[in-house]
Amino acid sequence: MRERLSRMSAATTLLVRFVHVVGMSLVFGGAAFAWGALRAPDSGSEDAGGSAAVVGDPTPLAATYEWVFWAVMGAMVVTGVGNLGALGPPGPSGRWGTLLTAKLLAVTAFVLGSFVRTLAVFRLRRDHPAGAGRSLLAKSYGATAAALLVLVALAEVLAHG
Amino acid sequence: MAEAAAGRSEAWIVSSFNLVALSLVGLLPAHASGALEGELAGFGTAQGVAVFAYLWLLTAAATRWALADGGLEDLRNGLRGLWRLVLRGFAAGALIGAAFLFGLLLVGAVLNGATLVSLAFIALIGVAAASVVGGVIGGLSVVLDAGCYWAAGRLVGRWTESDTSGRAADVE
Repeated sequence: MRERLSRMSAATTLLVRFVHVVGMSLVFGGAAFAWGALRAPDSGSEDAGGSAAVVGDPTPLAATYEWVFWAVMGAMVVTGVGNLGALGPPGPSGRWGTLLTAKLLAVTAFVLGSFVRTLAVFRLRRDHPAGAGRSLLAKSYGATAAALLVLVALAEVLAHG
Repeated sequence: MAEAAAGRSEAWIVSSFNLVALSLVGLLPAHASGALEGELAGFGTAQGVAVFAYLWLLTAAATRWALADGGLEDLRNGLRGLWRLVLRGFAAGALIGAAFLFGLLLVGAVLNGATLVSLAFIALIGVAAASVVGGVIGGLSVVLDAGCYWAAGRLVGRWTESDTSGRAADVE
């Protein structure tokens, strides 16, 4: 019985880590893809026939990413806390504890910045003609991908020292 | 149809952001004070995920109700719009707080075989306190959302302005 419980607990821990890693891959890959797609110079304003119709409105792609991003962020928070529980969180002092404080602060700043980016997508969709703000979105997703790389590096240091 | 989908999407994103922000705001002081270690030790992974999922569900439903009448767009009506949203945020937060605690108490009582009278007594006092705490958190969350909405408006306004003037200069 005890062996079965311990196997179940190991499986849960593994599942939590799996969701955490897949979540990070999704938000990082999505941000990098959006950045690449939006910074392409010719995909924005005219179709092949050269008509004035806008064929490259960036906001549907951005809105889809935002929906997925926030679902993943919720899952990342709960699995992040689960990981901490499995590892046994350190006290606030010491190198590990200080690194965890730095990571929590960095994640908080990232979440706030990401919400401003999401609301910028909403406002572009509602108030501006299709295609407006393309460069703003490209830079936002580039910054998101860069910030996520920093967070991954912090997580790497936390996990492997 | 598209408007309804946009409203649903806004409610989903705002509720997820508020829950993630609240979790981080709770984690930071818990870690800084050294309390996190003890709190996590007494909590199983599956239990933690279930409690978080329940809170997320409640937050999504309450946020959808709070934003049903125009959503964050109401913030464009100045202080009156902000006040309306803060009041709705307070009410939604109070509902979340009450339903969250009631759900936890109910599950705890069923698992521990508590009597109906003791459950009712604890629920009466606890749920009232949880409503007040939830309401204050809900109101503060709206203020945070409003600050981010204002920052996003400034960002978009500046950027689209410079885009337009850049294009005008290219034409000349």
